[in-house]
Amino acid sequence: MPPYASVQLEEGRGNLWGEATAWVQAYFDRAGFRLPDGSGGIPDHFSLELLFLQHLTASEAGALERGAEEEAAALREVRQYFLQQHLLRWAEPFLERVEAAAEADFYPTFCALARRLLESEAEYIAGAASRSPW
Amino acid sequence: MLINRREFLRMGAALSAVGSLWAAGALNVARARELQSELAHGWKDFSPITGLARTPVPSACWQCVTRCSIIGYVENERLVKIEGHPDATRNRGKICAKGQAGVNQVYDPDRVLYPLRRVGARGEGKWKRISWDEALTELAERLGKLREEGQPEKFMFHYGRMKASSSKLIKSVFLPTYGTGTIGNHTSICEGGKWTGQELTWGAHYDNWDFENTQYVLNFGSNVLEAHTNHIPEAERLIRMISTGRTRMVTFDVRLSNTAARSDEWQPIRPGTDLAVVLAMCNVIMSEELYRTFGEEFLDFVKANAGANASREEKIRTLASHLGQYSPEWAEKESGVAADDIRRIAREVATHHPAAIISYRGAVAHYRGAETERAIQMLAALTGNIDNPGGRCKAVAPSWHYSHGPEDKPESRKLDILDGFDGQVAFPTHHVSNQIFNMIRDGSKGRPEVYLWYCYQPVYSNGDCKANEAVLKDESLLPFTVCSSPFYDESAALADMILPDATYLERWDWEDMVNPSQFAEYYIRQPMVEPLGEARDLADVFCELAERMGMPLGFDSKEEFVRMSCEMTPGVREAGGFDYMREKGVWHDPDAKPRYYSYREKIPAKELAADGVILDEATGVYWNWKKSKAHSEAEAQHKGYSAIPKAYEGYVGQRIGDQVYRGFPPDKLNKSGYFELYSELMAEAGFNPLPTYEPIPEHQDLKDDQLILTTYKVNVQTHSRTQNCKWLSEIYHENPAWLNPATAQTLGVRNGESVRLRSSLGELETPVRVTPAVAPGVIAISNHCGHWQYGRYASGKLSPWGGEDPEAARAIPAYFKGIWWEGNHGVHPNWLIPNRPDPDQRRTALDGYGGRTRTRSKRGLTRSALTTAEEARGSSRLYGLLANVFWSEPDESLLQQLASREVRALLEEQWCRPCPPRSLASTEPARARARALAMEFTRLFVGPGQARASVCLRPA
Repeated sequence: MPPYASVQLEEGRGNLWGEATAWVQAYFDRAGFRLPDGSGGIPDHFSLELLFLQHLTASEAGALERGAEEEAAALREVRQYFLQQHLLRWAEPFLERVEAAAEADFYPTFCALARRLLESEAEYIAGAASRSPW
Repeated sequence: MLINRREFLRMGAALSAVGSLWAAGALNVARARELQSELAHGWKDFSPITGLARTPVPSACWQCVTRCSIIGYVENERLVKIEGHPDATRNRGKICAKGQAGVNQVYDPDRVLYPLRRVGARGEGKWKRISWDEALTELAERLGKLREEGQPEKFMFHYGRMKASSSKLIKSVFLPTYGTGTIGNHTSICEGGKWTGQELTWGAHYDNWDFENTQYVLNFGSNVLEAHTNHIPEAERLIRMISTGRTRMVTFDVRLSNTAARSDEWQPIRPGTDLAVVLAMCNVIMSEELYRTFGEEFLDFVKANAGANASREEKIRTLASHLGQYSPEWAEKESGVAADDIRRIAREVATHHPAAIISYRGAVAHYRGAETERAIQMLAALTGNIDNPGGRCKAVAPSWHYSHGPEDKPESRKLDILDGFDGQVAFPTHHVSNQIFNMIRDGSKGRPEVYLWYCYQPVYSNGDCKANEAVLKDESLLPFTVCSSPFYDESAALADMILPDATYLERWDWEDMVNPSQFAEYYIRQPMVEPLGEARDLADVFCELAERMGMPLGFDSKEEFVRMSCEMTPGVREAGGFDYMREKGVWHDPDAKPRYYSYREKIPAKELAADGVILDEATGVYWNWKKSKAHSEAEAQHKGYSAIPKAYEGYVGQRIGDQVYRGFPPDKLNKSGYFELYSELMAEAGFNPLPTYEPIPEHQDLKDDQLILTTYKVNVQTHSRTQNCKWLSEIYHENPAWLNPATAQTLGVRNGESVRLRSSLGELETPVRVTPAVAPGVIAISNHCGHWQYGRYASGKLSPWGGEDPEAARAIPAYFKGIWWEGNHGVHPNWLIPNRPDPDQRRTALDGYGGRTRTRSKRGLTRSALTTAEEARGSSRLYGLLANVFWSEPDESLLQQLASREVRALLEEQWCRPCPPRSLASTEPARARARALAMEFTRLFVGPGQARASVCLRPA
């Protein structure tokens, strides 16, 4: 169950450093997000993608607290795009595979938590889209 | 009952921030480093079973021409592991997969272990084991006879790979002592065009790329991160520069190689049109006067006009006017690269100084490849990136001293079959090896009576395999053939006699590959284990053969030759000579400084006044006519430097203004000491003296169903010498042809389907992989697979004795069992590629790689969609918590945090049945739970690519 997008997007049998990895790498580059030291350097790891979102949302919270609405909106746009174009496409099948293979209840618990979080994000994106002027 | 999204996120916000992932990551690395520290230093290894130390043997690799320094570990006289030599300044402890799989070369169960003599028809596969005495008796008799009859040239020696001491012993001592100059190589199917382009411009071949000091890498068709003549030493430096963000890299390639993928920018380009792009870039640099900042000063050393004394301004005028015809818009039409990109990249490379402008087969291994290299040299010159820190440098290699053998060698005689047919190639400075079989078939220049090849695969490596087989099989063309190889490959199968060569892990050498750090490193190769069976290094065989023919070489083995060199070579000798090198494997002068700007060296008056040195006014070259083929000073003066054969051998210096500089000394052609962009030699041969575009004729007006075939290499195989390595062929054994989706659609081909490719030579059936990683109109087939001999791992076919010999069977470790890929050995493109010197094709244009397409995200959310700061904070904490959970095995502190009231509240409120999960609520001590969960984590998530696998290296 390698927790990488490029593997999971192809039924769990894709290659490391696949097309999706290149996409994530390019996207992280463009967003100015650098992987933490010691992270192994493969950017489409589930945790690194979550970490990216952690940063986006933390920055967004900071921006909102400062009243920097435009900055917050820009960050939100990035998050929305990343989720929609990428993470939401592979997270669910991945989480299902983890749940099916798990023996202890630990990881299924957190798979459920992750699912809930991502569902709420999807909800939000759908809402945003329906409200979008386009 | 699910609470709504807002409430959910607010609960998240109540979480305390979970320990940062940074810290967790750093912690894991620290742990792994600690475990490895002892082993990472090198020189030490242990058996995981017995815990006993293994014996380290420093040596040098031979899996590819890079020849990295290595350390092999020997356990119970068996070589069990190879790693990079930690003290080597070239590869700095690193080696590639091929290097590590070298172990497989020694223990290949299909190895040739005894001298063999053919019984039955040539190529029938029936062999008789003979003794070395029988083999040498027959060889001495045949070769001795030719020599006595005064036709030693009828002994042809043909090598594919032979370097350093092996080359010196065989090519500079044994063969000249014997008297034959009929010595073939393989460079014309490698990068011969590149070398000729360099010899025409800066006089010698081999460019080193000083990545460590560069700001910008502009790459035309080199796959330097996967396969290169100095692969690991360069790749290691380059990838470090890229990954630390200190260097920007742009790659032009027809295929998304891993080098292109790791570049900041990949520019797909139509095959064979790099020359157009390079010329247009030079045009931009001249017309926008971008050369002024970094390139202008170097122009003093450049020849851009006829004659020897043009001023800087004259040179600028000539170049600007010649290049004016090559606009970026014109180049876009030729190459498919956008004119704006050409302009932008030209400006980038001219202003990001220093820049390493690099090139390899993508740019040079086709029609007018030499011209492309000349143009790339021009681009580097105009941007001031020649032989400077961070640029394209003249390579530095060690200068070993060695025994030259007997002093009275006969004048060598040779068959004129090495340089192609008359008029075929203008400057065969590295021979035309792919025409040799054609010339033998033709016969008008004579044929060898004894044809012996070494570390070479004439049948497989050259184009037109069918014709190669036919020549090698034909006893009327080649009456007696001998193959020296450790393996039973496609060519060995057609020999009359096979001499079992030692593998590189069983033999001696001193080695001399260049150091990317621009100072010389001396290193050696030594046996890690005794040669298996009766295998013998061919150089040792030649030493004995020389004895038997009554022409002793003055040393009786390669080991002695290497020992003598270690005692003769200044520096190595003082460091401790042979004993030192045996113990350490590598040596460099601790005071050595990187060498740059060698052309600026001024020639002392004393050298100019030496006996025989004269000035050639036409070129401004000072040269010693006595070292040339001139018969008298009068003749030398009268005919001049350019017209006297081998005048370049007397080159001393170049007059520039009122100074004489070392300049760019020629080593194969009578070229001046200028960096020649304007080449009188090219003009004489009927070409434009300045780099000029000419399209590839065969690529014009292609029909929809006509494709351009491009070949390439992957990182775990060499072209023809590693497919017998199980560990490598297990990774890479099939090579479906890459085809762009647009082309596939036009042709009606689906991914995975088999197609039949037809060229003028024949047909080939291969499955297709449809991928946007290759340009439309191109079909890419790697150059590694499709063996029909070379043992079980390469072809699924045993050698005639494979596995039957009890001694060989004993030598086969248990891991040589089971070839799960049997029957899937890929295809070999050389059956389709003609053996012409306007060679094979590469490259192309592409409209975008799926993973990199850019889409604009939607903008302008309405106010009502805005989240509050608290919700954003909640999302953030939840993301952080989950990132930690899925990142590494939980340690006690993470478990404690996860068991906190806030997390449990989140879980309980929501979806957790049973709740709280046992893993968090159990009364078991946290440490035990953490251990159990660590196993669960490993089982679930630790796939390939996780660094902590290294832990198992620890001694028991």
